[in-house]
Amino acid sequence: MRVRACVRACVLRRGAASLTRPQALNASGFLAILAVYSGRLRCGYAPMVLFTALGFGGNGAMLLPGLVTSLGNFPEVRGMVTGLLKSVFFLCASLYTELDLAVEQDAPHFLILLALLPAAAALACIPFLKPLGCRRAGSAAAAAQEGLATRRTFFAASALTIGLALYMAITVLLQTEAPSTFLPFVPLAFTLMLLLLALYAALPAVYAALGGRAAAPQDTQALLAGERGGVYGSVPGAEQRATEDAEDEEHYVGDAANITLLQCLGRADYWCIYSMYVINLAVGLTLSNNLEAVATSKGAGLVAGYVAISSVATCLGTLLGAHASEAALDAHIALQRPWCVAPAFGLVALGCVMVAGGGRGLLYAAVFVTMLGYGANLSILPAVLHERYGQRHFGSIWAFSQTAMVLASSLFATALAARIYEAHAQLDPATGLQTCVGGGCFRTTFLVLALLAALGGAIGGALATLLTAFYAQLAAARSKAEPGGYFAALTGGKGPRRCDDL
Amino acid sequence: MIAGLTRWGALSASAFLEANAGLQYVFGDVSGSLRTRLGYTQRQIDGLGTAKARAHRPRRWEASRAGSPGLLRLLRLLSQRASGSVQDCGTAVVDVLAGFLFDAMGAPTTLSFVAVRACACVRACVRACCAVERLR
Repeated sequence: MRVRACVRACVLRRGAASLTRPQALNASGFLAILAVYSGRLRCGYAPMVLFTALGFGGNGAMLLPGLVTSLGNFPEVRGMVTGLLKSVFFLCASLYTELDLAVEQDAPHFLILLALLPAAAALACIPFLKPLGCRRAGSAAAAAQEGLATRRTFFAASALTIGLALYMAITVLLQTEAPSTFLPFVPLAFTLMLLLLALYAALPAVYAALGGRAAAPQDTQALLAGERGGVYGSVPGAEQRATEDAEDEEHYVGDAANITLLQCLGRADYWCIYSMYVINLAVGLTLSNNLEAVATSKGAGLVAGYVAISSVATCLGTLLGAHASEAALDAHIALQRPWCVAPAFGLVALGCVMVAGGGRGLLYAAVFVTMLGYGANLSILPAVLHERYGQRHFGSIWAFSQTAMVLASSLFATALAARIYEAHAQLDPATGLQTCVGGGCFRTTFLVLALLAALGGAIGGALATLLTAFYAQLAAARSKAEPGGYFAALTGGKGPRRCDDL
Repeated sequence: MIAGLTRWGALSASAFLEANAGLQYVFGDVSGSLRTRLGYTQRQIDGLGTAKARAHRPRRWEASRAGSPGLLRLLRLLSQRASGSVQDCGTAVVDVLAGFLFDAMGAPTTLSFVAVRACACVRACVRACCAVERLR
């Protein structure tokens, strides 16, 4: 009976189809790329663009369900939720780079894994990916205990992610920089990586061990009966909408709960966030799309180490941005969350200058610094969007903000970086390809990006000034609900925030 | 296992999902092989990089908590109006128009996405018509 209920709630519902359809596109895209690569399918460049869009785009659609569901489940620690999930998202590249090394960088095998593994992961996760909301504790003491356990579990999850990221950085660097010594240990390193990844499944147990409440049986019953709807669930009825209205009023200050996408588009603060998003993505995508060309132009052999470092740095930056901005919000000082993008853009600008001017020896450090700042911005900006515009229309606002990715990639990664690279390229007689070697290939591109990053920091300051009153209101609400906030959970102080008090 | 599902279990599942959702940053691992094997220029490689970013943009109704496309919103608005349950018609109409605007912006992505979108619209249309019938 329970199995039937589970199937009804988790598989036959629209959610399963919505999550597996992108995975079907992902698999078909990568298999088509494999067919072209291995010569089984002969086609021009345009179909390859389509296959790439299908493969990578289908995979990218997996980002949103987990993020939106978790933000709805943990509105009281939204910065830490964004930081944790996006840091794991960015760690994906180093996990798959380890996989690439495990198959000895054989492109056909790697493409098969890229086609099948994400689909398998999505199928395994669908039954668990449900919005359960922020449940209310009965007494004030229970709520305090729950709040403390919640924050501490997030600290544990962040520590696990940092450990995994450092492990990935060290192993991939050793395998790529000293391949003769360390490549035989790839299976062992890969097994350890899987074991570390499996520790995320222990989060409910960690929460319980830290004194959090166990799941209420009635919540699960309601979930299985499909009464709560969901990210992909049925359209909520008027009664549920009224409940959501009440919850929104509790979780957001000012008019944040009711702002629609169109209202957003008429606001100066939204366009500040959007332009910062464009600038940040311009740097991140230009570097990640051209990483192989940047590394080879500076004389590097294996690019896998740079991909792994880029992934690890973005992951760590995401966590850093999340924790720093949460701490700033609870510190009751003038430095509110939007101010945190200024130092992050400073790191991005510094990294761009290092990429532009440095040689191969400096490239690891340059990639690390750039992607650290990039990752920090990517965790701060969604959190600002969420607390400013609320959960109700967050999906559409976030989805519209993703158009920044197209703009940034088209203008900077393709139009600027590729043109400058090709202007410096010369025909390589050995391969018959136009190849650029030397510092000039990407110098101008990254100097332009450094200037843009400085502009991004200035826009962050302007946004913070625009939102001063809003953040004062938000800080007061958080302070009332949880004296000490972020720091209370760190030091064991009293009075952690109740999720229903915001 | 499902019976003990909590928001922490959902968070764990989300973490696993995210750990498999960032393949666009793996592009550096495969771009060199594609460039050498297929003889692409750097501009073509960057074009592929932009294609992956373009398709990465999630569709609006996948992101929405209610999970509905612009057309479904329009038909729902009409059904709400027929039943007299609509409260703020102006805001709802603007929201529907924003939905269509966003759909139009997403149209030139790829043929397959457009096809999937068309199928979703047809399904939404049928579902909304049934809802209107039920209300009547």
